[in-house]
Amino acid sequence: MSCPPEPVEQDGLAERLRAALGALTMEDDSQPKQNYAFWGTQPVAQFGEQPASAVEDGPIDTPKTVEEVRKEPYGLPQNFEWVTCNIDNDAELKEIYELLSAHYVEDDDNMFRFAYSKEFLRWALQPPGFKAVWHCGVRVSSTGRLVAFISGIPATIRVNGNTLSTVEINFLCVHKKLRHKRLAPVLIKEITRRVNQHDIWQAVYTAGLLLPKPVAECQYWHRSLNPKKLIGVGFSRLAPRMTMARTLKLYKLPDVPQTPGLRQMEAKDVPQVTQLLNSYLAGYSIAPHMSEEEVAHWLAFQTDVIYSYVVEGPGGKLTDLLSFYTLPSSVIGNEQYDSLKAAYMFYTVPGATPLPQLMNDALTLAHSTGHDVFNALDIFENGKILKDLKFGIGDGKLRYYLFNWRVAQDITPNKVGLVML
Amino acid sequence: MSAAASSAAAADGSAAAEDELDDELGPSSSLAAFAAATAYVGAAATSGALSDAQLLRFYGLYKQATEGPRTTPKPGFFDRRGRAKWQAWQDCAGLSPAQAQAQYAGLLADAAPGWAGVHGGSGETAGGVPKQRGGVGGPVQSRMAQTEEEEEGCDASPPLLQAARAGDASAAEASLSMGADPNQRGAEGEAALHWAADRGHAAVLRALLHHGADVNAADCDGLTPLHYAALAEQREAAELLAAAPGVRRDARSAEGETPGDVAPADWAFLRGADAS
Repeated sequence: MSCPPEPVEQDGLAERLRAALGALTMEDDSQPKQNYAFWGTQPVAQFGEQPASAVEDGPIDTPKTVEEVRKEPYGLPQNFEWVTCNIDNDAELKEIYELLSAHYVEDDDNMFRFAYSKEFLRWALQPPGFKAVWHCGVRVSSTGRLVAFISGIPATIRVNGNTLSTVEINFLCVHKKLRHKRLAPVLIKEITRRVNQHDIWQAVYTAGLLLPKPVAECQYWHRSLNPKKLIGVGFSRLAPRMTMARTLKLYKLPDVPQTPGLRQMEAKDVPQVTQLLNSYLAGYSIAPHMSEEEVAHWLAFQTDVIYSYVVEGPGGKLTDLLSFYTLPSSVIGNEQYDSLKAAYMFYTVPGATPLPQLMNDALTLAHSTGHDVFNALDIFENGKILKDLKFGIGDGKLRYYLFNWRVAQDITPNKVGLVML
Repeated sequence: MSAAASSAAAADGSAAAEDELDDELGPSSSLAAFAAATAYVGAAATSGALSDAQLLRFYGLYKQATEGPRTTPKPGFFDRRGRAKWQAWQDCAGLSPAQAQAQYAGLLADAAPGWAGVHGGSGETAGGVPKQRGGVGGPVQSRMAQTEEEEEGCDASPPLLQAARAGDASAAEASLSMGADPNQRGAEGEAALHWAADRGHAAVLRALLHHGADVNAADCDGLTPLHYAALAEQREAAELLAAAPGVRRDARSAEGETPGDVAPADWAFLRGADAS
C-alpha cells in the first residue's frame, strides 16, 4: 500500500471524540459538525435551518404547561442516582468543590484547571430566588460518591425586545472516568425538567465549544498583571526579542487607582448602582435585568470572590461602577507554582469616567489584590479599548447559547451585555 | 476488552483513588472500549506504529461504525489517497455499527496485542478520556495566544546581541575575537551583557566581561545588567555580575531603583548591598 498515513491519522484524531461522545465533543472546532446526536433533538437553534431573515425572535418548542412536564426524573445508568445538593451543608459543598477541582474545565494541554473556591460556589449558586433542586448531582448508589453535577440559577434576561425568565446553566461536570457514559445529556434533560416544573422555559449558557447554535461568539483577551509568573507557568510566553526586564516594565501598573472618588462598593450603594447598571445594560441586545436584591447579591464586595468599586462624585452621586470576580486555576505539574489567580471582568459601567481609565483602575486593583492576570471578553465596549490597555488576544472563544429561544439575527460581541461565571 | 479493566491494570499509586471508582462501577461500556481503541489507533498512526494497510482497514471499520454505509461517490482516478480510503470503507459494507466496532477491536488486538497496557493510568495522554476544556456553562480556559509578530520577521540586531540572547557562548566568543564591540547597543539601549543577564546565560556573561564589556552599562531607562538579572531573577548571573570588578551595586535607574530594590526579597547578597 503506497498511500501515506496522514489522512487516516487526521480522520481518526478528529473524529474519535465525536464518536465516543456524540453530544458533547470537547474540541473547539470552528466549523459545525454534520450531526449533533444530542443537541439535534433539543429545542435549540440548529445550523443550516431556514434563512435567518425568515424568523422572528421567539420560543422554539410549542408552549407547554407545568402539568405536561414529566413527573419522574430521567433514568440513570444502573448504580447511579440523582441527588439534590445542599449548598448550605459544608460537607456537600465540599463534595461539589472537590468534583469540580479534579474534573472541571481544563485547557488543551492539561496545564490549568479551574479551581472555584467554596465561597465562590456559594456566591454563584445561591443568588436571590435560587432553588435547591436546581443544584442537581449524581451519586454512585453503593458508595454515595458524587460523580456529576449541573446547576441552574434564576435570571431575568432581556434578549432584543423580549424580557425572559430564564435560568443560567453552569458547572456541568462529569467525573473523568464517566465521560463515556453519556451522563451529560441526561443531566441537561433532567435540569431542563426541573426548571420546566417551575414554569421556566428558557435557559442561557455559555461554552467554549461550538454547539447548535450560538447566539453570540466572543473572544477572550488577557492582560498580564504578573508577567513573570504567567511566563513561568506557561500561560504566556516571553517574546523572543524582548527582555524580561522590559516585559515587566511594559506591564507595570500604578500602585493605586487614578480616578478620584473611586472606592469599594458598600451596601448603601445598591439602589444607585442598580439604576446605573440597568440603564447601561439597556443599550445591549442580550443583558440581564437586575433587581436591587440581585445587585446586592452579585456586587457585594467579597475578598477573593467578587471585587466591586464605585466612583462617587460630588454630593454622593455615583457615576461609575467597576467589578471583577476571582477565579483561580490549579497549575498542573509545575514545580514552582501550583495556582494561578485570574480576575475576570464583571459588570463595569463608565459614566463620568472614560472606560479606558476605569479599566486601567480595574487592572490596578486586580494587581494590588494579588491577581496574576485580568481576563475579559470583547463584549460591552471592550473591543475598542483592550489593545491599548495591553491585553493580548487569547486562544479561547466563549459562545453564548439560548435554550428554547431563537433569535432572528446573531448578536455581535459589542452588543453582548451579559457576563456568566 | 474494557477500558476500565485496562486502566485498573495500569494503575499506579497516584491513580489508585481514581481507580476505586472502577471497582464501584464495574466494567464500562463497549462504547468506552471503542473510544479507547480509536484513541490508541490515532496515537499509533502518529507514531508510525501501524502500517498503511492496517490504518486503512481501521479507517474503513471506523467510518462504518460511526457513519454507517458509505454514500459518497468514488474519488477520481488521480486522487489515489481518496480512492484507497473510499475502497477501505466500501470493503466494510454490510457490517452493522456494532459489528464494525467489534472487528475494529479485534483488529487492534491482533495488530498491537499489548495496546491496552499502554493505555490507562491517568488516561489523559494515551487513553480515551476526553478533556473538558469547556463544557456547558461558565468560562473556558484560554491562554495568551502566540501572535504572528513573535514568530516572523528577521532579526536585525547585531550578531553579538543575538548570540547573547540565544546563550551561544562560542558565537559570542567568535564575534568578540573578530573585534566586535562588546558594548554595542540594541534598540532600547541594551548591551549584550543585558541580554546575557536577562536570560541567565552565565558562559556568555563571562566571555563578555573577559572582553571588556562595561559591567555598568545603562539602557535607556538607566537599568544596568545587574538590574536585569535581578528583575529576571537570574541568580547565577546576578552573583557573577555582583562580584565583577568595578560593578556599581548602588546604580539607580531612571525610576531611582537600585538592583537590590528590584531583586527578590530573599537575595540577601544584593539587597543588603545598598547600605554599603
